Amino acid sequence: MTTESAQPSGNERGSRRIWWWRTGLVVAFLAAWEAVAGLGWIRPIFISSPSRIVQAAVWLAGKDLWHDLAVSGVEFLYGMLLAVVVGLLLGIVFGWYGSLGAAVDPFIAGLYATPRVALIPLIVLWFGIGIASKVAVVFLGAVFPILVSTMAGVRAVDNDLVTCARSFGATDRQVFRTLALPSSVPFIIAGLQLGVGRGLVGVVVAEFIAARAGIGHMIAVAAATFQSDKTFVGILILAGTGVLLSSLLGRLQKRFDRWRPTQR
Amino acid sequence: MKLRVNDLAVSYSMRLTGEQLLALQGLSFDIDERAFVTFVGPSGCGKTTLLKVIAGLIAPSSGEILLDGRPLRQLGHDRAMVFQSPSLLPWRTVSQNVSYGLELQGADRQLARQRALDHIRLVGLAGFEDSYPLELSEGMRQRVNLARALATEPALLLLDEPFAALDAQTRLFMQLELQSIWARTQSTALFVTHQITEAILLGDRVVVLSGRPARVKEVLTVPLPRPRSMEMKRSAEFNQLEERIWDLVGEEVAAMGQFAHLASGSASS
Repeated sequence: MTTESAQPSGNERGSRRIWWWRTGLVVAFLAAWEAVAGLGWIRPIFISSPSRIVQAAVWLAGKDLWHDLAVSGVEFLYGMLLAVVVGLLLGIVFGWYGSLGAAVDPFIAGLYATPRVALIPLIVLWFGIGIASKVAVVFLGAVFPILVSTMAGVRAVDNDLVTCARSFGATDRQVFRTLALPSSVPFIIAGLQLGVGRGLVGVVVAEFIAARAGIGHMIAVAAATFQSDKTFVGILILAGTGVLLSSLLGRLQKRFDRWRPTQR
Repeated sequence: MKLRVNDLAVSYSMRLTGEQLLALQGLSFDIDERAFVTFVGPSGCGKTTLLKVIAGLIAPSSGEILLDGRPLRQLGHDRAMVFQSPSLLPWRTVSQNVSYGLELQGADRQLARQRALDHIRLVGLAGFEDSYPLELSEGMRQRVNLARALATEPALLLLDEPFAALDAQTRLFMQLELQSIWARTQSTALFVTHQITEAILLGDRVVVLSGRPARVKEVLTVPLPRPRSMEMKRSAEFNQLEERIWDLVGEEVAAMGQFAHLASGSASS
């Protein structure tokens, strides 16, 4: 806060310089990539090239790309929604009723520690290769970070504040609503950030293993048939989605952090 | 309202050993309506416990607390406590924090808002209604804490070393200001402190508590007129009283045997 207001011009110049550096680096990287492939130093079948990727994207856009996007998107969305609802509810309940949380801890800790991808073959066995199995994988990937963070957040409520609220005659409900819930918001958002990442991994890996459509399926098929340009299209879509979602959550976090003084 | 504490005892059971620890025993005193009474005593003698019992946060093992002859309800709307730490909700603005107590007591929103604004002005924080606690100084935060308690217009105002965390200068100004704020309320104030000069400067009477388990060792009347001023700290009456209280507290500290190695010299701040 202080440094920024003290030297606005200097900082502005600094951030503009960073922007130029960033843009320059990206352009240089793309140019080098194009050159390496174009000059034949490395065969494009392995690394493709930016121009080939753009061509592939345009070609794919006229074919199955939208269908694949829709399939993966729906799988991800349903899985995440389910994970958020279940994770928040159970997290709040287990956090608030401490002994209940302690009682179910073996299940949570056990499942949280298990690499969820190990369960995919089993899930395919139960739900088939349609959308349901992918929703289940996304759900399982995302639900635990959300649940565990929410639980930690509800438990982290400041005891001094609780005592103070009690001195004004606060009921349990009031303590929960005015203290436990607001103070767990940062934890919940951190859990969502983690959950979104795990969910994306879930979609892709599940589609690698068993699917008829979707971005992960497209990547797997393209790579298996040496079409690295198509593979890169899929990878870039996933990278973009990850960046977009995590910046949206970052913005949400900022909104809830208005009360925190900016920089010190 | 007149407060009567009669033969109060509180015991804790230690979590590890299960041993019973007596914090208060046979504690009795009376406080007149609209009086300002301060409590001093050796560290760890149970002063905070006493306030918490009166606040209803801890149940007494035996004895009774009567407000105008009627026993206190478990947690009533007639008391408010100011803690040593400001205990503000960091995500709420100053005015939302000040109305928090009223909100918990189920007051009407409009009324809570209005009372909050009035009390923010009363503690001298007009203009900071929409600031967040982390943007304020420690002294200002403690004013918000005070305003939150006062906004509920309590019959009993319980203050647990509210200025302990402030620097010496801020502390002195806050003491004088608390006095003038309190003069404009209808509350009876119970003020626990470590600082003997603070106890004299603020109190109509000073209750000296014994070492653990705490009971009333002596009650002294402060002969100074109100409003009290900084200069009074240099008056003869003030100094005599201060010495007297130091002696009383010193006896208790010696009885507890914690500082035996300091021999029998009188303590000083």
